[in-house]
Amino acid sequence: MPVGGFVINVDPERIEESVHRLESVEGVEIHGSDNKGNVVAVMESSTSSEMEAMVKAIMAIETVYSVALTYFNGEDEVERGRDGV
Amino acid sequence: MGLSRREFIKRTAALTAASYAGLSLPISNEDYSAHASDADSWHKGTCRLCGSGCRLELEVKNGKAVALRGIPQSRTNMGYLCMKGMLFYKLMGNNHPERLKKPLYRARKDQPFREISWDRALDIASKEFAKTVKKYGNNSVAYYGSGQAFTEETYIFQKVMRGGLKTNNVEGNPRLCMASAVGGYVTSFGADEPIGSYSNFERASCFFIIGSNTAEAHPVLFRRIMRRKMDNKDTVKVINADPRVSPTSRIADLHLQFAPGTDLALLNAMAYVILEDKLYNEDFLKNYADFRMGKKKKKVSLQKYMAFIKDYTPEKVARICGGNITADKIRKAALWFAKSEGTMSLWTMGINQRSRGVWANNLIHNLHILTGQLCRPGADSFSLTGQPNACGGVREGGGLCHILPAHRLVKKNKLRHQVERLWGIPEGRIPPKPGYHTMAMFEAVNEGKIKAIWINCTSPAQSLPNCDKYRKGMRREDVFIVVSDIFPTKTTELANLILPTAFIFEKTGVYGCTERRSQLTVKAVNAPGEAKPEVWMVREWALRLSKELNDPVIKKCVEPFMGKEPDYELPKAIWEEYTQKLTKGRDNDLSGATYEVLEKLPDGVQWPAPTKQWALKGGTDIKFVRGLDPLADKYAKNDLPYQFYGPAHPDRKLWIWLRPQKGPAEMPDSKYPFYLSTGRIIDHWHTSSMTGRIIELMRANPYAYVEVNPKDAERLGIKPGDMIEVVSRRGRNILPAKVYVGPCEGMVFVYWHDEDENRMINRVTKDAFDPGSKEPEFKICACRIKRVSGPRPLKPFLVHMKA
Amino acid sequence: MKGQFLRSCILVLAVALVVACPAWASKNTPSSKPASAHPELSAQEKLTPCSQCHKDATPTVYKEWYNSVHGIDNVKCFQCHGTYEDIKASPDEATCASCHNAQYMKRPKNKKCWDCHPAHYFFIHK
Ligand code: SF4
Repeated sequence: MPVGGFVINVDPERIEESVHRLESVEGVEIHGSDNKGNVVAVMESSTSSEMEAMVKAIMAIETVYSVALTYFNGEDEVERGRDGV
Repeated sequence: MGLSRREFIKRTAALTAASYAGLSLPISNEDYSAHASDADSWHKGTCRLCGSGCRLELEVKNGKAVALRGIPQSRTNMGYLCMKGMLFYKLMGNNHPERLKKPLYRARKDQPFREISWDRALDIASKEFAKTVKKYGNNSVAYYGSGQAFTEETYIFQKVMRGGLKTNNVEGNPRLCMASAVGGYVTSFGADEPIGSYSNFERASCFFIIGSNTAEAHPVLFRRIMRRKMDNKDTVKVINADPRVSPTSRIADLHLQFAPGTDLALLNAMAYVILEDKLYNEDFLKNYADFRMGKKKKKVSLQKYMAFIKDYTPEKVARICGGNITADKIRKAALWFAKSEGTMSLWTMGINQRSRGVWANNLIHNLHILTGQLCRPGADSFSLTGQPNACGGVREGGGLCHILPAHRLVKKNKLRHQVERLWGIPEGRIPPKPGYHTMAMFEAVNEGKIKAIWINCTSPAQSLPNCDKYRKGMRREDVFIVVSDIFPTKTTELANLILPTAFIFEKTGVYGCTERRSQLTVKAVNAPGEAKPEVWMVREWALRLSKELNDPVIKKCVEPFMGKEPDYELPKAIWEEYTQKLTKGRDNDLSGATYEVLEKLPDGVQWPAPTKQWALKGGTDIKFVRGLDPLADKYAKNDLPYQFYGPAHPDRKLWIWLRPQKGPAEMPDSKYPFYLSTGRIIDHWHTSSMTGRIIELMRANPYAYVEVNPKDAERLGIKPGDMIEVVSRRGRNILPAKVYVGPCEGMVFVYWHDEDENRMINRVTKDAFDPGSKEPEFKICACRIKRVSGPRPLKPFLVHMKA
Repeated sequence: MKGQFLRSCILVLAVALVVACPAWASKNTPSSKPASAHPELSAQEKLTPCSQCHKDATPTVYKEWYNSVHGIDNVKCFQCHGTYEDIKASPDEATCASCHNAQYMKRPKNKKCWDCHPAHYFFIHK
């Protein structure tokens, strides 16, 4: 199960609204934000393509400017890949 | 505490993200350390093993370095690494049993080494240097550094030598590799270092690669060039000019194989074609260029230049150049060069390591100035630097005998006093005369004029040309030698005191790569045993020197750094002083590139970067262009788009130089009929004390070979693998032969990394040097070769510490 | 098209040959275990660049590699396959990530890197 740490850049004028909408995306946890519009999020999904889809969904939110991956852990996925599961 | 591994990973994810955004989170760090030990962490840094400046991440598991991978967002390497960059984690921490872990000392060089404490080691180092200064004067001591040391290290070493010990005997191995490039940039463009950036690789439509085996010496940069060529097969041209066909030639459309030492004629002939066929850029010349000649830098006219060039008709030069050169090839090369949308020249040691290296550099720049192939996208006269921090540390940090930090000349009173003021030391403390340049320095060791020398992070016993001659001096019992390094080398063999240093990722500091980009590596693993960062050693050494010599000014030099923890705070304080005080207002202004800024970026900052805002964007991609370079706007004197504000040309012009063909210092003759040239091989770095200890790399190239052209081989009855004796007026090697069309007929080529006495080619090379840059002519001398036997089983060789 | 199909066949064959040793036949053996596939070599023989023998031993693979971007840019055998002590006929994908981390991160999880970028040719996509 991949886990990703993200910095999401949102419209600084509409932070609260953005955080609310982000939280409604399944698998997304919001850990904090600042007044410049930086939002720290952790995403969890069962495959990394699923996570990609989540990122796409987030990008579609109109108050979101950018989504940047800063941390990624997919080790169990790699292990499963190795064992051919 | 009850934190599942999954929770822990999520927390790490959040904390990492937060640290990128500069946010603090209401999560406690409590469980962090408990789990950190068994979790992976990835740490950003720079590759140690060439001048490309590839950015990578080190994976640390349980405090142990376990893997390296490229950083895709980095503007230097875009995530790619070569085999050296992939594998050098194997040398970190306790991964390699042979790392030097304790200070070692012997009073005499014929004695075995004994382990001693740091306290004793620093005492000995300071007492010996103090004693020497008292007895023989300030110029009897010296520092010989490295383009592989961090900028912070070079800077503090030279500060203590100059401000503290009152000598300009500060040199480093970059003298052996890029001094001619410095000379070329300063005399042609008025400012050191390339105008453009790697970003031109993706914008150039003609590459002129001369005297560089980029494919092996800068593999990851070569990848970018290769990609550009393969994606634009018909529109992008690659010209490779080199006496040797190398792996770089594989992507070339045109290969100009000239005889060694005829490069100046070839470049002038290209200029001839450009003039004759009116391929020059009249506007550019009118606005930005001037013609100069001679020692006095006399200004001359275009007509005079044309008259000078008349001598270099392609037909005549083709005969001078020999090899496969024809007049047609020269014409074609000149045409492609001049006509392309953007031409990028690339060169390294083939041009720099010449007894007329500065001139050769000038002549390449000439072609760019004539055709206006500068400052616009893809157009660049770009010297590739061999070492990871020759540019950042030594060229910019004041690591040579004639320069002070931030491109200040020692002999300019105003600039020297400026440095003294910035350091808060009395005026007149730094002597006005430059110190010994590298070759003179080791000559002075030979003559017993230098009695104590500190050699850091390099192995001159192997890397100096004609090294036997200089090893003799280094063996003298009346010369005290300190060597700081991570492994035993040919030079530690000649030391009195060996100081074990921390390796990259075991300490913190900045490397500045070829494209003016400074990049930070923060400590991620512990150094093995008692190995220490150099910055700590120098500070402690200086404090003791101050006492020994009863000179408070020496202490003053390290006062701003007192009490700082050595792994991060100390180098940070040094970097702050260097960038905020010394580079501010200079052409390599790095004051925006603080550690905080550098830590935020996946790669680093290109100077000029006078503000943090500008630095956060990565700094200046192309110098001298208004709108792209903040200093070009600041110092603009007119409305022209380019402003050549470099400190060395007050007229703000680019200078086209009249430089005649000049052969090497030693030409083949009847006794020594072959040209000998040397160079690197992809798997090994310099003297192989590091790469030789990585088994994959050692096996890929276990010993040096001599490459012989098949025609010569046939004539001399040489078969692949035969043992060949290579003899010059200075020394001799016996190496296995590789027979292939690499070197041109009449030339042999030897890799220089091997530490074995029989295969150490610098025992054979010549120590003639360029009168301007003082860079030796490693690339050409005369030798004879002889087959001594058939193939023999050989053993790879590395210097080990005698137990 | 036909050429491509043929090439893939040869490729499959070549891989099959290398893989066709007992250690690889068993499904449960993790691929990171050393393969005993490589003939025993003396310490001296091990001081030979892989490509020197494989030029003759596996000429097709050698040629594919030599003319690929990896070959032109000097990405050597051991960088993916390891050296004698840890030879892997089919490399760990994590090794690809040393250089291709961005692509590695976003690759489809049900496929190996070389399913789309055929081994030793490495053109952009199959
Ligand atoms: S090209 Fe140079 S900097 Fe890049 S990985 Fe290789 S040795 Fe390191």
